[in-house]
Amino acid sequence: MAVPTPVTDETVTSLVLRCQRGDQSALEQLYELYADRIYRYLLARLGDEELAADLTTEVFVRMIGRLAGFRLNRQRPAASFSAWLYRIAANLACDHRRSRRVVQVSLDPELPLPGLDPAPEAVAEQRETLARLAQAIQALNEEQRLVIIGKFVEEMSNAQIAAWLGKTEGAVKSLQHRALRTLGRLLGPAKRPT
Amino acid sequence: MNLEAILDDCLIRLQQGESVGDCLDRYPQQAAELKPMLAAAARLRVLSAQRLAADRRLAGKRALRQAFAAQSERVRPAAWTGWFSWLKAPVAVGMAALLLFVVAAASAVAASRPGDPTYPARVVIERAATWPLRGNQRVAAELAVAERRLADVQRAGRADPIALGALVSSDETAASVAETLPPTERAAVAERIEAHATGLSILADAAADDATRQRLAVAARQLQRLVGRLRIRLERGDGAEGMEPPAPPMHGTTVAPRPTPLARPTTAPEHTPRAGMPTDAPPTPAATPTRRPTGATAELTVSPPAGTRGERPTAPAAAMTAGPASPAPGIVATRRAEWTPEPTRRATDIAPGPMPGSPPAGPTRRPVATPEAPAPTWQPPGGGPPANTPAPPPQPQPTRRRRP
Repeated sequence: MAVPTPVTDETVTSLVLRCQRGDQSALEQLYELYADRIYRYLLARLGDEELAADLTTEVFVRMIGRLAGFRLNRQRPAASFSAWLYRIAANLACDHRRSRRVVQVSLDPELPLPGLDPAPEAVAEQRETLARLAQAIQALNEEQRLVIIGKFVEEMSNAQIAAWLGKTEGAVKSLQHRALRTLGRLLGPAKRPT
Repeated sequence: MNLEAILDDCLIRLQQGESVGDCLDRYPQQAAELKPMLAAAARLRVLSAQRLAADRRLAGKRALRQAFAAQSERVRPAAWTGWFSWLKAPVAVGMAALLLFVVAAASAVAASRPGDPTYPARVVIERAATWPLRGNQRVAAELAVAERRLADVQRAGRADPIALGALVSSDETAASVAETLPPTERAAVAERIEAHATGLSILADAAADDATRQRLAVAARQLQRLVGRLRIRLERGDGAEGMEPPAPPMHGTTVAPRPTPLARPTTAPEHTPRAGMPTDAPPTPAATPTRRPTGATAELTVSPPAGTRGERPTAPAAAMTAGPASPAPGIVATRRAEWTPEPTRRATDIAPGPMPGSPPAGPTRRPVATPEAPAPTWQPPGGGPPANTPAPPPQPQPTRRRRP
């Protein structure tokens, strides 16, 4: 279970400003801070580990090109930077989906839960699981998707998600409910691995 | 507790290590609805365990360094651009505001009337447009400007000193530049300036108060002087290109007089003296009867162009309205029945004396008062004395010479 690195407003403000001034080490720190998050987001969107890793690098390359024009929100700098970065990732994922048709995988209701076995079979099974999850997540709208990713991928609290998305906790709960209802319908009941 | 709250509670419990079954047992009534949602949530946890592989992470950092170096190369020469991008919006807003201001100011100036704060600017700008012109183009432009000023005075119904000053100044410039033009063109210039003077004098007559009347009359007088000067020079043949200036008389010798038209038409305006517009030279009864306007309600008319020497007018060619100098209708109405045949005033009567550069007037250059040679008469259509009637004997005319 990944423990998200704490991201504070002060850290993000300092790193972004240093990056904008051309500090390469600050850029690397930002990468360390956000690379796994962006990777998981892209994995949840695309369901392909290799592709998600490639696009993660591409997100940061795009970020370098656009960082000069980015203005931090002084009220919530970390949230604004994070939202901006996720937006780049979302656009990249959309671009990729448009340019290349993703291999369609049937949403088998007998979806097994992934085990911890690193055997080739288990790896293949995990890939299939990820692909199905990605396809189900693709059926959500962007707000529902971000709530799901915040809650189950980044393990954020409702309050943190609300601050991140600029919404109330009630709205987050509502989005979470609707998203899970859709995902439950699409993924079906789980089959325990033997 | 609604379903959203129950679901949220279950998700928290799942995160704390409870199983899906435990959560469903906790809420048996909602278990059917909760089950697929909690199962989906449990599956989603698989994503949180995903991390970028170490080799991919290193490759990513390498790619970032390269991209950063390339970006720095691009950004370095464009550092100013980045800085200007910060300034771009305020500068654009400022430029737009300036443009708006200029357009608004130009509109205000163009639409200004005497008395407006922007009227002096309009006068100066319109006048400045004539400066680059030369010759007859300059004359035409100056006269057009003068006519605009006259129209301004008419419209405003007041003797605005700026408009009057600009009017006189434009006419003076036109007259000055016209001295380099051929005689026919100079005559036409004199005619137009005279029309301006006439327009002013009519306005003076119609003026409501003495101060206005006085100002208009003074301006009209200045223009009349200008006309007189132009016509005298025309008679003398001074100033025109290709014309020899008269030789100065020599002491002790008799200088042959310049050919004097014995029966020449009047060159002076025939209706210039008006009530309220004092003239330097009062009209004198001349040997030549003048034409009279047609009808009793004669409007502002201008005398025909001063003929060249010896030329006899054959038709009332210039009984025309004075264009922009024509007075407003109300003003015209006040002029009716005042128009009476007036004695001709000779140009010499208002002559300011020898012009600079002109030969001194000798005895032979006296203006011609030729009672022995009566001028031919001209009968306007619609009544008047019969044509070709002998002219009445000339009256002794009190001439008053104006000192230069």
